[in-house]
Amino acid sequence: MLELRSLYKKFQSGIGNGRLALKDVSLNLRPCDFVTVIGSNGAGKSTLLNVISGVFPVDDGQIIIDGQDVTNLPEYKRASVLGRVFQDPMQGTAGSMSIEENMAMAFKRGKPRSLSRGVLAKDRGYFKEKLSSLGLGLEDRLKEPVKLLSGGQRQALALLMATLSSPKLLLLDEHTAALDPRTAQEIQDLTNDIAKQHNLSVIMVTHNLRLALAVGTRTIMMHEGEIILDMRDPERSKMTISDLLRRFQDAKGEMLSDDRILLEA
Amino acid sequence: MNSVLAVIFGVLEQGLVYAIMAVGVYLSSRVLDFPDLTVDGSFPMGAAIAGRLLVGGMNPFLATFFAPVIGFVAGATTGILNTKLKISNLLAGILTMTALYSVNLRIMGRANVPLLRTDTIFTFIQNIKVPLPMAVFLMFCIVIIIVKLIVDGFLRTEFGLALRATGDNEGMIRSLGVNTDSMKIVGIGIANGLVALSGAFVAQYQGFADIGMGVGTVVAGLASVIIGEAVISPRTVGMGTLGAIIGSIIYRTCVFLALRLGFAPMDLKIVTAVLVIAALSGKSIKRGIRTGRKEAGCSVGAKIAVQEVSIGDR
Repeated sequence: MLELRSLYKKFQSGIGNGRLALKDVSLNLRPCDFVTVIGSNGAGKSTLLNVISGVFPVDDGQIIIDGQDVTNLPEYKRASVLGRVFQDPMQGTAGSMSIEENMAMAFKRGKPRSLSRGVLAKDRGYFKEKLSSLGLGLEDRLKEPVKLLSGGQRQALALLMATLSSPKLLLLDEHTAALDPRTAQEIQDLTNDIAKQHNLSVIMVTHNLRLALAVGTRTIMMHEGEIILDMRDPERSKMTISDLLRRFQDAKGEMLSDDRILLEA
Repeated sequence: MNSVLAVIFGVLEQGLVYAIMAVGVYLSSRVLDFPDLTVDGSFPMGAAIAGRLLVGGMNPFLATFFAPVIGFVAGATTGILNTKLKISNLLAGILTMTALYSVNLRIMGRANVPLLRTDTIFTFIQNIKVPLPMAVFLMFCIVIIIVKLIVDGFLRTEFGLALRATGDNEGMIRSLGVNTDSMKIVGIGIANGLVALSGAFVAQYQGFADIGMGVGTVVAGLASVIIGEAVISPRTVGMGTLGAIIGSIIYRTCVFLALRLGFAPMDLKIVTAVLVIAALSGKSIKRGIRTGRKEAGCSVGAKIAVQEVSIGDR
C-alpha cells in the first residue's frame, strides 16, 4: 500500500549543517493499516506526513504508494490517492466558498478541471446524503459559505472532503487537537467509521497517548527523525501508557519530552 | 435638458467601459488574492493594439478582439514570473508593467495614436438609427452584461471553482490535485485580458490611444472594487462582479464631480488615491475601535498559554 524506503530529509538552517528531520525512515503500510504516530517535539511526525503528501521533496529514499513510485511527483499529482486533514480546521476547506462548492472540488480530487458546471444537480443529492451522515444538519446549508461554520463543523466537512472520492491513504495531522473535547471525540469516531467504511490506510499523528493506543491497529513512536518503536495488535492492545513511556526510555535513555503530550485523558 | 442628459449618459458610459477593467481587477485582487500591477501596462496595451490595428484598417470588432488576447499574454507573463521564477507577486507585476511600456511604444510606433478619422466600433454604432448617446450607452450596457455573465459562469465551472480556491486556500486545493501555478497564470491572464479589452474600448471611445493612459489604472480599479464592496457587501461571485461594475460607475461619478468642483484633471490621481485611502482606512478605523482594546490586552504569548491550558484540561 504505502512503502517508505529509508527516507532522509534535512532542513537547512542559516548556519551549521542543518537539522535532520527524517533519518533513515522506513515504513510499510498494508491495506487497512491504521497507524497512530506519537513522539516528542520535533520528532519528525509532521515532516513525515509532509513528505508523503509531497509538500516538500525528500533528500534521499523512495516513497511508493500503491505500487507507484511517487518520490519525485509534485504534491498535486499525488492527490488522487491520498486525502489529508490538518490540525487547523481552516486549512482543509475554502471559507469564502459554499459547502456544495467545497464538496464539488473534493469530488473532483486528482481529476482535470474542465469548463463544465462546477456543482452539478445530480451530484447534489450525493453531497446531501454524505453530509447528512455527519448528523450536523449541513445538508440543509449547501449554499452557505463555509466560513460561517464552527471549527468542529468545518473539520467534519474537511474530513468528509478528504475521503469523498475514496483515496487509498488518509493522513491526519492532529486533526482533533484544536477542537473541544466533545467535538474532538465526535470527529475521532467519525474518522474511525470512515476509515472502516472505505477500507482506508490511515496515518494519524497525535499527542494523545491514550488515543494513540485506543485507535487504529498499529502505533509507531518517533524521536529525532527516527522510528524507534513500531507495535501492532495484538502486542499493542496490551500496552498501557506507562508501558509506552518505559519503552521510550529503554530505547533512548531519556524521558519522553513533549510539552503538549497527553498522558491521561 | 438634453445637455444634462448627455452629461449623465457620458458619466454612465465611462463607468461602464471602465467597469470591464474593474471586473478584471476584481478577479486578480479578490478572487485570486493577487495584487497585480500588470494592469497599468495591460490597459494601454489593449488600447495600443486596437489603435494600431484600426489605423491599419482592420475591422473594428476584430481589432477589439485582439486586445484581450494580448492582454492575456501580458498577465500570464506576470503569473509565470511569480510562480515559475518565484518573483514576488508585486515585483512580478511591476516588472511586466515596466516592460510593457516599451512594448506599447513599439506597438504604436509613437506615444499617441489618434483614432478620430479612423473607423472604430463607434462609427459603426453611429450608422444604427438610435440617437447617439443612447446607442453608445446601450452598447456598453450589452458589453458589460456579456462580460459579467461570462465571468460569473466561468467562476462557477470546475476550473473556476479551483481558481477561486487557489485565492482562498492554496494548500487545500493543491492537496485536491490542482496545479495552483497554472491556476494563477491563467487567472492573472484572464484578468489582464479584461483590462486590455477595457483599454481597447476606452481608446476608441475617447478617440486616441496614448502611452500614458494606463497610469493609475490599478488604483482606479481597486477603488471601484472597494466602493462596490462598501455598497453591496457581496457574498457570491455574481455579487462581486456586480459590485465592481457599480463601484466603477460610482467612482467615475466621483471623478466627474471632482472635476465639477474645480479640481484640475492633473489633480485626479491624488483625488483617486485619497478616495481609496479613505475607503480602506474607514474599514480599519472602525475595526480598530471595536477590537483594539481586546487585542492590546491579549499578546500572542497569552493566546498560546490559553491554548495550552485548554489542551491540558483534556
